Amino acid sequence: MNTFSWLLRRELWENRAAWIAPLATAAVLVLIAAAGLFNGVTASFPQELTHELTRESVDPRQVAVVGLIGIAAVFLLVLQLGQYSYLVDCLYAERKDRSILFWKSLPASDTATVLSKLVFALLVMPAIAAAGVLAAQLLIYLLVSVKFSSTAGLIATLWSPAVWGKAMGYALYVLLLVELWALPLMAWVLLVSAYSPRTPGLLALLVPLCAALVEKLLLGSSHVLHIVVGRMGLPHASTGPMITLDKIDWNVTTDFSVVAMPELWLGLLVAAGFVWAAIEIRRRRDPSV
Amino acid sequence: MSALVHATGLKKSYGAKVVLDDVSMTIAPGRIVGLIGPNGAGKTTLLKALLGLIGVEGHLSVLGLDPIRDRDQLLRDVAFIADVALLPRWLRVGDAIDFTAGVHPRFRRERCEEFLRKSGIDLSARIRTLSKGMVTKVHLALVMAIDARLLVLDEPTLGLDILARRSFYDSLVADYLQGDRSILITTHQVEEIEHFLTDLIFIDRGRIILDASMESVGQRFHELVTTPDHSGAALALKPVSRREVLGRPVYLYDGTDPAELTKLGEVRTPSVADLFVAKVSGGLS
Repeated sequence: MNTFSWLLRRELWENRAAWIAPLATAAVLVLIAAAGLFNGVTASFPQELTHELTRESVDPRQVAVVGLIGIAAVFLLVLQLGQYSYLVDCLYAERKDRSILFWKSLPASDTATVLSKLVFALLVMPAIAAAGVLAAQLLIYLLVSVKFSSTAGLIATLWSPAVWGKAMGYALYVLLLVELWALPLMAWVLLVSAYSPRTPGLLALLVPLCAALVEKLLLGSSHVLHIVVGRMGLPHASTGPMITLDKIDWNVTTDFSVVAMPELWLGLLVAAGFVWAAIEIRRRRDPSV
Repeated sequence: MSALVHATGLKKSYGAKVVLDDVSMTIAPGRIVGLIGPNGAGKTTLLKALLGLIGVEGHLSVLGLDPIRDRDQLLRDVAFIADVALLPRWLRVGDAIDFTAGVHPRFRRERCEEFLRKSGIDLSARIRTLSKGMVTKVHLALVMAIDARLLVLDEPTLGLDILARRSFYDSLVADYLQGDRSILITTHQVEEIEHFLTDLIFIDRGRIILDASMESVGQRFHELVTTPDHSGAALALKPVSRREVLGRPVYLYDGTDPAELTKLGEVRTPSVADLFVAKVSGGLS
């Protein structure tokens, strides 16, 4: 376990973008919010929002949640782009600069090394993103509170621990689902990174694209495309709404119907196969060619 | 004690090219073995096989383990440099030390840091800011600080100046004398290591052409420096090679009685480099 924590630390040293990107995202969001609230950069934004937020009928809870989701959605996009670029490179860079010969001279097994890369993308990067969401949200709510300090109802809701707790719980639940649902895609990119002789980024995209094209030409269907694209969102997309803003279900965190979806488990099984293949490739391939 | 390395009938080919052809060798504990061969002879392939980096046909055991199957366990007792200066450019020297100390139970941090202090390398520097020679020194410092039972070094001093090479070999020998480790080393600068080798292995075109202790090399091989008028007699004793040094013929003999040779001129022990040239170029035929 100690070796594993060193392997994770190693990833953090190498991939400074893993924390710089969320930090920059938070900074940009806070700056945009500050500019919008206090400088009127977006001419229509302050008046309309002011009107919305100060209306008697508005449900402050909705505002709080919408704010959270807006922030979290931006972070999720940045996270997914970051995960892709991290995974594409993680087993390729060490072969390209031949430093794999150094790493393989130390007693850290191929299994532990490959798993550390997956865990970094699957757990560490989202954890950093979640911290970024929290920080950005705190600062933006602080700005909103200063701007609308006279609207007591809004302020009370923004800073209500119950709303915060539920909103964060909701966000984390969604994040977890997104991660598990997209795990086969991530494992695929990891495998390509372990295998690809060059340009893993291109190969990771070309193979599913070609498969989709061949399917379209031969069978006229587009299952491959649907499966791949579908994995980039939420599992509920096909079975029911989950993230439409007007129907946010507070109880979604106690809804475990997703766990019963065979597609989820099938996806995890496929992911395990990809990861196993990546480990075997790193173990067996002559590292110096 | 049983052999640290025991190999029989190792074979490896890439496509039609045979890189290792029926290689057998043994390394006993407490030896310093020089593995010498021309470029492309199979040295690096053989080392990589011993380290479990590539699979080969034949029987191979290192420290009693299968290098591929038991690789994780093997790496606790085997330290190696497969090629120098391969540290990733983004790594800080201090982080490299922390990491190695974190994952290696036999890494001695103080030794590594002392070696680096002597070399004047800043621990907060990133590898990308160091010269190639300095990166090599960092790599050597990391690997040499591991208390390994077997140390495998493939061209460890490539790119180092003569002072750094000398000081590296001095500390290598000092370490060796203190502990109970065996060393397998390859280099093209044979003259720098021959005085401390205990065993010699020549490899050429995938085959082992000499495997002997330095002692027996001294007993078996002799070099005769003579004059041209003794050529007939010298050739009659069947030398393995002939060359000329400053107009005087020099003959190399394998197993010939030195008493016979002394009659023809000056007899001495050949250098490893001369022996190597004689063996690899195929000698007189």
